[in-house]
Amino acid sequence: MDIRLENLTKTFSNKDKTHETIAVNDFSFTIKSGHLVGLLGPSGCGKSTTLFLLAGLLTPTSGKIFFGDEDVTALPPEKRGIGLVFQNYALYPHMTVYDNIAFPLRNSKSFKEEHKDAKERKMEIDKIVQETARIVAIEELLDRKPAQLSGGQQQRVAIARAIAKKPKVLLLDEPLSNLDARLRIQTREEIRRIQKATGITTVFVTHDQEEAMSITDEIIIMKSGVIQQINEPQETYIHPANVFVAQFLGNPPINMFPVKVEGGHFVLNDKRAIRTVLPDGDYQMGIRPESFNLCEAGTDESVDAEVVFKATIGRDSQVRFNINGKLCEALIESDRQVAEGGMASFTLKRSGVHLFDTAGERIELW
Amino acid sequence: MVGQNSKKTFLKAMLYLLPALLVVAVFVIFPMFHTLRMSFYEDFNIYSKEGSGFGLSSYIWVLQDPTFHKALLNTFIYAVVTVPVSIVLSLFIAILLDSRIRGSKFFQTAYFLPYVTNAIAIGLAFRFIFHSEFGVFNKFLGLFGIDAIQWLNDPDWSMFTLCIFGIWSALAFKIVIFLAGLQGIDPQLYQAARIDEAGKWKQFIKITLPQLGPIMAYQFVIATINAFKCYEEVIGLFGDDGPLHSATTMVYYMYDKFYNANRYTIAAASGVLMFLIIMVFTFIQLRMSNKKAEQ
Amino acid sequence: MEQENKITNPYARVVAFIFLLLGSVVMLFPFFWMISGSFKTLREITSPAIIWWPEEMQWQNYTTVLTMESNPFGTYFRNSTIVAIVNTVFTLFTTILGAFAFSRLEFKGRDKLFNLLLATMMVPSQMYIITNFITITRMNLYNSLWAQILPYSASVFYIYLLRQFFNQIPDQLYLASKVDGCSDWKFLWKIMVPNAKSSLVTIGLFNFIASWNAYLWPLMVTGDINKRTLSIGLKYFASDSGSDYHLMMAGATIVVLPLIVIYLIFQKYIIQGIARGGLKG
Repeated sequence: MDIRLENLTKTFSNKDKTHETIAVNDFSFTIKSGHLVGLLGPSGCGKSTTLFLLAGLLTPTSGKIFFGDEDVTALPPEKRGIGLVFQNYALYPHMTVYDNIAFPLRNSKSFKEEHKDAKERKMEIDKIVQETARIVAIEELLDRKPAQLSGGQQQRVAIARAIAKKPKVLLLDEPLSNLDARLRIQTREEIRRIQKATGITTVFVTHDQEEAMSITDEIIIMKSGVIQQINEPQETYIHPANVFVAQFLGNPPINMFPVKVEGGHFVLNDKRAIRTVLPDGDYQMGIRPESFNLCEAGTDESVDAEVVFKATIGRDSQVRFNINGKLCEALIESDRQVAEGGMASFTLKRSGVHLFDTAGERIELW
Repeated sequence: MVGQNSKKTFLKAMLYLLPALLVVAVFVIFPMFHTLRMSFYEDFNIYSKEGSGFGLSSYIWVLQDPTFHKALLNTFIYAVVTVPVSIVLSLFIAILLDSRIRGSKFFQTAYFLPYVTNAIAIGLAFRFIFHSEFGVFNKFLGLFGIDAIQWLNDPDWSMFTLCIFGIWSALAFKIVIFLAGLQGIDPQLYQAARIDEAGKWKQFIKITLPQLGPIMAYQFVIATINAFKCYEEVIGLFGDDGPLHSATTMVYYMYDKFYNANRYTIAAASGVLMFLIIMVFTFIQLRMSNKKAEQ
Repeated sequence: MEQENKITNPYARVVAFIFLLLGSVVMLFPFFWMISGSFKTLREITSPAIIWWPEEMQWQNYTTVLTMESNPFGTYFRNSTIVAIVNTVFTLFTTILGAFAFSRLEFKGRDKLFNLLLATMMVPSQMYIITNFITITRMNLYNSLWAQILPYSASVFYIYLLRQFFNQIPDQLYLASKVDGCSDWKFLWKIMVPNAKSSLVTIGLFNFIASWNAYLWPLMVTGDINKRTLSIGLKYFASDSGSDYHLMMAGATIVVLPLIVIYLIFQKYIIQGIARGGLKG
């Protein structure tokens, strides 16, 4: 089932109603059925608000939300057929894992109507709880209370609770942020596996780009309530739509600096270095740290720069060059001879160089 | 939140609050104003709810009544004696209980027990202990050749006996509070003080006392208010207000004027006066402790 | 880890121990003397020598007290139990609903109303019993157990305490329950209340003890001997019985014993309750 947002807007006013903040500004997009989509952006960009709008925990100021063909904008959360996993899991502390998973089923009116006989309903709930527990691999924890579980286990229980009532949409709010680094990688793969196994359309909020890039079918990048780009993760990395997206994705981050075009060449460190068809003027250039290739001085299209800093970490060396007054970070193979304080020459891989106009929009031109 | 308009939320909240608000409005808020109103009449008919002689006559009567003076004086004496003594004693006991001395579990149980007891029942036990003829206390003093003292029947001793009972009853609550306060002090402060070669006494003066500052202020306020409300201790110990009314207190006075003498407006006026005195003391104490905190 | 602020000198520890021991004797002695006295004969009571424990335990002192016609302690005990239990159930009910509204429902004027209620705590309850007596009489409740129960079946202080606890329960739990199809009412009873169990036990205990020990108000609204509670009954009995201290001590023990039992069972809750809320204000 597709999820479609039409011109969705949410504003919050402060207590005295003197000031309004636009948390979500005119969103329109469609999430395809069965996809795992990441809502990505820095904190305060409106991604959790979007998720809560989808869940029905917040009401939009204007705009509509469709699940398939059904307009769910006015429906309360329990009638939308969604499962929601909270950042802190929000497990009911006084209930066992079993009761936590069974709780939404026991509350569900439609479930009650489908299984009118109390005994039959109880057996059906038991069947679903056991099955869900098996999917998230917590069968042996069903009798425990949440406080007796590790963070990763609590996370699985939260997912189990969310998917037990077979939701049409699964929503995850920063599901990994409370786990340590090792568990985080393990759990995000687990989420992907569960999502694939159940085929539920899933929306996943995160501020961590690596998380979003590694498991999603699509990412939606947001900034201050405005969508910046929607695309597959790798496509977004290769074709960032603007300076914000380029800088937000990638670790270490992209090197961004102003650059001039003179007579068909980019001017790098006072030298006409790289040919271009762009007209003369001011631009912004971004270079991914992995796109530097060291070469002999005087090679065609090479750039000369001072090596300000060098550190070798295993296979790679981390080198900082001074380009147009900006310290640019480069990752190069560690066997190449570069000395701190000396000069070096390098060429650039075209795929790692991005151009933007002074307003920050991408220029697709090579 | 969750798609509800504010009118609906308000109605819903009122439904939730209805039981509590009803009780509080009828039995707390209304009486505050009604008692105040009553106190300004010279005479009040509690059946027709009508008063006559609006003015300050009841206050003037109360303020000129020697029994009220006695009640006021006794209440002050009771507060001035029991509050500081019980605070110092309970702080001392709390520090010892906090020292992990053998058997401190048992001691805690013993020291906290008086908190749950019934003032009338334990007052009777004290009456029995302090009985001039066959009370165990006089028998005990007799072992040292001290003549029997009329603890309960001599007007000169009655306040003294009342204060002893009052201190005994008030200790448990204060010890619990102090103990919680002591356990909340960061042990690193003491470690730092030891490194700075501060002795035990200095640690007490420089760390324990200042750290307990807010709790101390709280204890003083609560203890003073409770001392001003002293009544059941008197009934428990003497059965009335002591020999020749020597142990009468403000609450006793109010109750007596209302219930036994049917002087409703006098009772109301004395109740308002009691409230004002408690307010003044509370403010003075809060001021003092705030000033100390600022320094 | 060594406790830096504790007494370390072994001699000082012995002195402290002896002091605590003597102090606990002083604290416990009235209880001991009351119980021991309740088993003595009149002769033992009035004997000039100190008799620590009766030669033979006089259980009939208790049967005498419980079957007296002039002061029916059995009825007193029943009345006290009814009043304390019903009052506690009512108080818990009003407290739970009130605390929930103040903690979770964002209605207009909430903070103002709450502050107004808090302000009423400044006024000593002794001041309003005068008017409450009039109100109860006009409600035709004088000399009924309801008169003892109703005025104390809601407490601003307990609402304040429970609201503090409710506020600590994370908002996400509320949202999660919405997603799981819970109404506010169901959320309160299925999620909030079970999680606030220890706070509710504490509040219930304090209310029960306060109700059991109440004296002035029950005295004012009770005319009939059959409606007396233990505190009042004991007071009347003491006035009537002259120097029958062995019987008085039996009566006092009947009043105090349930409290001691409750205290010994729930000591942890009671101590935590005092320490956290500074109850009895």
